[in-house]
Amino acid sequence: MVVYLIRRLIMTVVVLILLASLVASLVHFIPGNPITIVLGPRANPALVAQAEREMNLNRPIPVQIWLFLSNAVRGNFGSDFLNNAPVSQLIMAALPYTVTLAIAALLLVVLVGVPLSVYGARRPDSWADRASAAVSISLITMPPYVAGLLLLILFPVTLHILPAIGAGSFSDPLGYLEHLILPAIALAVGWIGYIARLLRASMLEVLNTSYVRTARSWGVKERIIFYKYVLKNAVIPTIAILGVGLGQLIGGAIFVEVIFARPGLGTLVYDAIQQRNYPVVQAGVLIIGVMFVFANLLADLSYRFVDPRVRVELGRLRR
Amino acid sequence: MSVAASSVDREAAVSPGRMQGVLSGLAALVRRPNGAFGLSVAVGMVVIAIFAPQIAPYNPDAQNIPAAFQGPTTAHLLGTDYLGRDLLSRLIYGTRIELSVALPAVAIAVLCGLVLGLAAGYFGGLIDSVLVVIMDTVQAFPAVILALALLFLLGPSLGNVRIVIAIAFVPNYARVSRASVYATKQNLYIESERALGASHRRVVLVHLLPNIIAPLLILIAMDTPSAIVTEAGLSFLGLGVQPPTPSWGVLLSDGFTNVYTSPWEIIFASLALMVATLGLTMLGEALRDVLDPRLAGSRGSERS
Amino acid sequence: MSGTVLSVKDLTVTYRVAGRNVAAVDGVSFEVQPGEILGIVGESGCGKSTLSAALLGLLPRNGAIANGEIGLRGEGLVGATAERMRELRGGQIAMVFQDPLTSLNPTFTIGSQLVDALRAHRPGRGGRAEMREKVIAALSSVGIPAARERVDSYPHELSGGQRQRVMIATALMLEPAVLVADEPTSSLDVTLEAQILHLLDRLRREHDTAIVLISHDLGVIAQSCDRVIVMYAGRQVESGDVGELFAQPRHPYTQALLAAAPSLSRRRDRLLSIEGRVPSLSALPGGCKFAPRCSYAEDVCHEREPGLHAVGSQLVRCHAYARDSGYRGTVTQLTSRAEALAGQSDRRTESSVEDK
Repeated sequence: MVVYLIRRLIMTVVVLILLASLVASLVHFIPGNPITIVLGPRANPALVAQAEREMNLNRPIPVQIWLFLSNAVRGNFGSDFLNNAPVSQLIMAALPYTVTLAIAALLLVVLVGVPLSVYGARRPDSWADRASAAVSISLITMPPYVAGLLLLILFPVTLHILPAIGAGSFSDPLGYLEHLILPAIALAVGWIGYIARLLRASMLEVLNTSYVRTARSWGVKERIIFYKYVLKNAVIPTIAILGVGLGQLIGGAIFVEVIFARPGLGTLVYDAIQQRNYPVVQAGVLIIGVMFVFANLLADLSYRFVDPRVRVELGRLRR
Repeated sequence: MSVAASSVDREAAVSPGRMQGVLSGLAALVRRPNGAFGLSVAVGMVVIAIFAPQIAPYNPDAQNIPAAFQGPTTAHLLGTDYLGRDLLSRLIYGTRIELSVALPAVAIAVLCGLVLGLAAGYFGGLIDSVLVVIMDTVQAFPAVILALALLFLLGPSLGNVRIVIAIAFVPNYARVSRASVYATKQNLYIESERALGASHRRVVLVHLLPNIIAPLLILIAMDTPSAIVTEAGLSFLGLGVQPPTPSWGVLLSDGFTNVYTSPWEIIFASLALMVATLGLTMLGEALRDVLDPRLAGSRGSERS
Repeated sequence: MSGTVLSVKDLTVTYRVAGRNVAAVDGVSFEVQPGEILGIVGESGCGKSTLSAALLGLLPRNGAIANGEIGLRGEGLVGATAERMRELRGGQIAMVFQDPLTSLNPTFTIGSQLVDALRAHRPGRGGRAEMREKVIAALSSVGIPAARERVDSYPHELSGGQRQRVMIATALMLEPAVLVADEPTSSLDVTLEAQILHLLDRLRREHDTAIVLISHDLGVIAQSCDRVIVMYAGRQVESGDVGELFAQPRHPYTQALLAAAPSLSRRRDRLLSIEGRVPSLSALPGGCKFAPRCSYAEDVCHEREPGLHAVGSQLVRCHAYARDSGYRGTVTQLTSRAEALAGQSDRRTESSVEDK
């Protein structure tokens, strides 16, 4: 197990380094003067000269990558173009809002998706199952921005309940929750449908296995078979998917934050793009990528912990 | 054992009687409810896109400010937007925009991915390792974020969105073709063919391609709605197709700006997006069932 | 020794396939006494697995018992509720499956699975610790070494033979009146096979368990069973005492089976096989199902399906043994072939007795 962990961690570090290098050097993959690309329509000679001095964009690429990486590791992402504020500060201010949003959405996915799929798997092909299938499938087709927009229309605009803007503050938990509900639902909706279908299919597959047949032949109650055996076996492949889901949730957060004007990482990057605030864009993209990698790593590790076959095998590798 | 058998079967299906194979495949597809629905959505979209000028009741750019923010009426079946433009016409032309972004993007991704994957799998060694590393890094980002970064640098436009989406999808196809190459490489009869002097080209055409076609088609069918959704999202953020070009994402963005005044633009654009996604995804699932039932997993609890 | 513990009368099991009902088991009848081992032998597709599933009420969703009765200690199983069947399974009638490698849940320890089995039949009786002890005792009684440590292992840490023994241990623990063993040794090598058969023998000696042993392996049947049923295309074609059947196989199919079995004690240039193929259940021939492949078939065989006729102590489904079936060939012809084969099978049964 230890050997595997170490190997996996090394791989992760390698990917992170490559990620950061890609972010650092991305501008050079595009034909043209990197400085004018970065500044975009705001370019004027004075700004260009300033950027040349401060941004190292004309130094050799490996040097740029090295500088970027060594600074990033220390948490230094430079200063933003607009107010010369340290970018890391901006990111740290925005991050908690995005993290709470992602976690809330994930919770919703689990709390709604699992019962939905259990219901479908216990009574397959019944009317209830078909109905929940229809619901799941229509949910799957809703990307976060569509869900967010429709929720916006339904609740704040038409029914005048639940706020449409902002995140509230941590000091007012109830208000914070109020501001969290709609964005979290919007983010979770697509994945709820997906998990419901996936878990249901996985459970039905398990119900057809030899070992469930064995348990039945021993006279074990169907309820125990379902909630103990089937659930555990079906959850294992689902955890792996959920890990990827967390990463995608992070990606979808940008839409939801923009729609509901939540001051998270997504809005930060979005605004920075509009304002051509390159250092913020760079850092934001990097942080989101890092979160994605860690989410995948977490999912991968938890998957291996839950599946005893893998656990013991890895233990044996050690001996 | 089964690999050899299936590749032989597919060879037989692809070379002589190829037309028959395709026709019978189509018949199987239509027999399934999701295949029938998916196919009609796909065909419908293509028809609407091609014949947009004939079908649309108004010019999508024709402004009529006094008639702005109307709901569905007899004059404007789906209502109007903030400039009085007919929503139905804009949606119809939007279909054109969606397909003109999604299809070429996927096509580019397929081409590049195939070539890269084939090269990596065939030549192996350093080329393969480098490719795998690059693909993993590209996939280490959520597609949207990668797209954002690239669009920031390239500048927002319809053409750039195509390129950006293609880049995000290339790893899928590189993976598939690389895996197919490895699977086929393992077949001993390729080795014996090569020993007999068969050229690389023959090996690729006769052995590799038939094995790749099925997973490739399925991936294409599943990636197209994904491309549409991604493009709409990027355009919604203002980073993709620019207004007044009526991409569905742009319609959503216009609707969002004016959401407190009239919800109709958002509602109808959302519906269009959802139907398109649903139909094309179902087509992909039906294709998967027809071409490779092994991937389908269990359906219901009936067992032979 | 009390009376019949399992009785099956005229059992017919159908599957719904592509809108039609196909009979996988047709009109099978037998009885099993406590402590008796009944063998069921036949090629794949003859219906033996369907029969075992029907006995336990574990048919898939598209399967159903179309006709007949199953009596377990006098209780009718055919119309029983799902809950009643569940209560009976394990404690009264249990099953050992063919594929030990997939028959245990890979994500739970064998100990916890066996405790679950135990708890299903003795709810509330004894705490976890007591049940755990019972499980450990059962495991060591089937020869699993270091049972106290092994009880917390996962199935994939055990070999195939050990996993099969775990399945039998569960049967021992639950003390069912009837055990259905569906090809219990098919995936094991000869030494393991002998051990498993020995365990089954212990079950019947120590607990008076009635055992239905299903196999395609004639050697296993000859070694272990008291009586045997030969199945073909869902029907029983011959049944009776096992020694008699091997000494004097009467039905042409049985004769062909025995002739085709490779034997060490006789040199042969090529392996005999039965010409033709097992018919598909959805496209069965009219008349006797074996007629297309039978070298003794006459017109009447293709026209009418024979009933079961008593011949000596055996039952045979063949027109040749029916007095008024219209079969014109002489019975002597068949019997002399049977006797010719008897010479071979005598030697075979002798050698398998030595192996014990």
